[in-house]
Amino acid sequence: MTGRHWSGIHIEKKRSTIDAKLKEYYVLLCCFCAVICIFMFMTVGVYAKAHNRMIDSIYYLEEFFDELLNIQNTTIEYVFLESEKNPIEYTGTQEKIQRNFEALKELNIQGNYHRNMRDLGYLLDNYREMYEKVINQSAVSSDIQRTTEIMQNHMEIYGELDNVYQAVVNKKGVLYHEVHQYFRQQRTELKEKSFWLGGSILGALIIGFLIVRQNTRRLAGEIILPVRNLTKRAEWVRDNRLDELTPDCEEETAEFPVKEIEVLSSAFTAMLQRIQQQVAELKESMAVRERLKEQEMENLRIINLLTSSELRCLQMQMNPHFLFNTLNMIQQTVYLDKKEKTTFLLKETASFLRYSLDYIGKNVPLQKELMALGNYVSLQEERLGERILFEFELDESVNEVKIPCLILQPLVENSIIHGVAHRMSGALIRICTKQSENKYCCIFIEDNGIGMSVKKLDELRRSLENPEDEAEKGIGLHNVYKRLQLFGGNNVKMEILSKEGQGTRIMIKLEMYTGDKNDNSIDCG
Amino acid sequence: MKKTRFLTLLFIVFVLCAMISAIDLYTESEPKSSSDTAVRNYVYLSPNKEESFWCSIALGIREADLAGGTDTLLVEYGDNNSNIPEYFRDASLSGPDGIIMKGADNADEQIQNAVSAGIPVIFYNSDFPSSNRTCYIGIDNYKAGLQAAETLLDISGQKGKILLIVRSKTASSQIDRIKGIQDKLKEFPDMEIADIIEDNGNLLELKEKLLLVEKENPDIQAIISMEGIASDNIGDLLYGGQRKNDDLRIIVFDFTEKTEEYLRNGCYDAIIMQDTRQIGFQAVSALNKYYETKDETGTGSIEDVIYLDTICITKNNIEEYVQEDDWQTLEWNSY
Repeated sequence: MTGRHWSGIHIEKKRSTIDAKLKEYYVLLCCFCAVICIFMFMTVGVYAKAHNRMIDSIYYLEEFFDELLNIQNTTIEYVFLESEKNPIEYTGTQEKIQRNFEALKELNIQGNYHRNMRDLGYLLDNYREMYEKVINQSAVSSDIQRTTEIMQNHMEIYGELDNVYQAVVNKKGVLYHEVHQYFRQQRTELKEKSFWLGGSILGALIIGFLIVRQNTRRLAGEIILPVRNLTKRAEWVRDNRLDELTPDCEEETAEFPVKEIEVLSSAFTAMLQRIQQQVAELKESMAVRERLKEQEMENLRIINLLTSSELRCLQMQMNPHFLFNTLNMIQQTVYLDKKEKTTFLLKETASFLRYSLDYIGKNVPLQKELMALGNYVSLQEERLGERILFEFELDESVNEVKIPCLILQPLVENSIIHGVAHRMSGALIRICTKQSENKYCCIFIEDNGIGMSVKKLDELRRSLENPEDEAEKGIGLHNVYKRLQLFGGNNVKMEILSKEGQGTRIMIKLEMYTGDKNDNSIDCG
Repeated sequence: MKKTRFLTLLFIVFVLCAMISAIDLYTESEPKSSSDTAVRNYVYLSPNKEESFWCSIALGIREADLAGGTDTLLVEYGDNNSNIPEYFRDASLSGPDGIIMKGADNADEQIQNAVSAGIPVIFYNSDFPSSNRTCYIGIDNYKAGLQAAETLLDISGQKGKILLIVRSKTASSQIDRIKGIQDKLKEFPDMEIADIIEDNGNLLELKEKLLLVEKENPDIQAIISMEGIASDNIGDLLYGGQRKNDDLRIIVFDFTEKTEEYLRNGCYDAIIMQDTRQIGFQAVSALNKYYETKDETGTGSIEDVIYLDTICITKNNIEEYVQEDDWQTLEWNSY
């Protein structure tokens, strides 16, 4: 917070803490209460003082005249009724009278009061003198018989005493009147002064209340309003409405007179900003990931399309050769007028072609592939006769394993062409399927043909991996190898074993994939 | 913030006001007790405390107290002379340095005792020398009579019959006044005193006698009343309180509310009055002088009689002598 000094210089105002603010507030409240209490006590004190003074004055007056009456009565009894109680011996009463008289003199009453008290004092002295005289005279005459003359003497002296006593008693009414008038006047003055005092206190009370209220509101505003804003923003966070948190919200609570609130607010704001930033980054990252995923999906689709195209392309490459040979063979049988054979051949050929057309680019169960192979083998047996013998050792447990269609036929054809075609008899091609111990499906195609030399075998293996030209790609073995790679990737293995002069063995090893997982066969229909 | 500052300022103002009020409330002014520092303490016995005559005397006494540093207690005993002995006794027993009272003849014993005890007693208004009073302050009745006659001559055309009204023909003050009038009128033979009515202070008696006089002397052209009851009532008796015809001249003694009213409305032509303030003032001065002249025997020396001049009030100068209302400030004692 900055403020302007009287000299015009901007100065950094020190923020105070909640503790300091509260202390300041408490001090203000205590001062206010103290001021009010002091004045209330003062007012009450004044009234109490006035009340006590009034009660005291009346009490002193009453007691003074009562005690005086007692003395007078005792004197009468002593003088006329021969009482043994000598009033002079009642020192306590006399002291009381004197004490009350002194107390009455001290009263601060205006008007004729002090003059009357002065006169009363004189009368009292007079009275004391007179009554001592009376008592003494009575005491002297107490031993002798009280004659009429003596009694008359007593009467005379007592008469004088009584005059003084009456004069004193007459002062009572005057003094009461004075006291009464005084306190009436005091009450009026007190009322008037109290009105001003009370009015000032009331005014101070109201203004003080307004100040306290103002400070309370300010303090509340400095603490509660920022807390309320913080709470609102926390609710937004809770309700996942971070987008509503605009820069304007920050400006509302830009000025924080209280340090703790400032710390809380700035920390919360920083936290929100970080959250917003991270959310934005996250969104961006997710968007990127989404795009990547889409791209990947697209790529996969393209790959699949390509694979399918490639597969189809590869497959389509194979059919012409077989078709030529088979048609050639059928031509011969027709020429030889072997109807049944022709029918048989046509049927087998149709089955095989049907299989090729129907399942081109698809993955088929091994059993189906073997059936199609059977069709082919039948045709080859017809063509080659007893020159070649086909043996099948099939494991039914792998019948459902999926393989690309037209995988086995090219290999068998390869065996026929390159393996056993040179033998005039005793050529053997064995086709085996079995399940290995580690749950792989193994397909063997072996022949007892001429085999390959080690060099040739190596070249063949190398060329399978990296076909050098388009022509090599079209060759059956390469075709099959490529399609197997496209089908299974690293999960398919094709091994060629060959020994020159002894024969060749091709092993295909693939996972026991029966099509329960995502079938990657693409219907190019 | 501005609002808080303003409120704080207001609060301070109110608190200051409250403090001042509280201080004012707490502090009491010391009572004025002149008797505490008074040189001497006197007592003034008055018949009442309502009428201007007696209050004016009290005001004169107060003036003298202020001038001389004395304190005089004002005591009202009610307009009943029988109260005088008891009040005088109480006053004298309270040890005053002097007593001022209207002349009375029913407290001789008390007065004697007081004077014997060294308490001087001053009479005013009426004198009773047999009462052993110390001093009498009053008007020179002979001179008052002369003044009344002179005033009458000024307004009457110096001829005609005059009626005099007195309380008692044997009272010395009345005798002196009559003498003064007579001596003045000797110089004007066209004026004569037709009759002297004695009303004894009784209104009924006055009324009866007035009627008689009217029958016997229908051509009375002037009336001089030297008695209080008559002075207050003849205006009403003769004219119903309204303005009279221009032929009759009326001069009264004593300035009261009624005589003032009749003077203002034209019933009366003049009022001969004592300077009552001077009476009070001179009474206290006399007492002071008494103590200043005290000898070895303890007795002071003052004149037996102090005469004061009378004043003639007419419609022209009445405002100079109107009694002020400050007798409301007098503090009276009543036993």
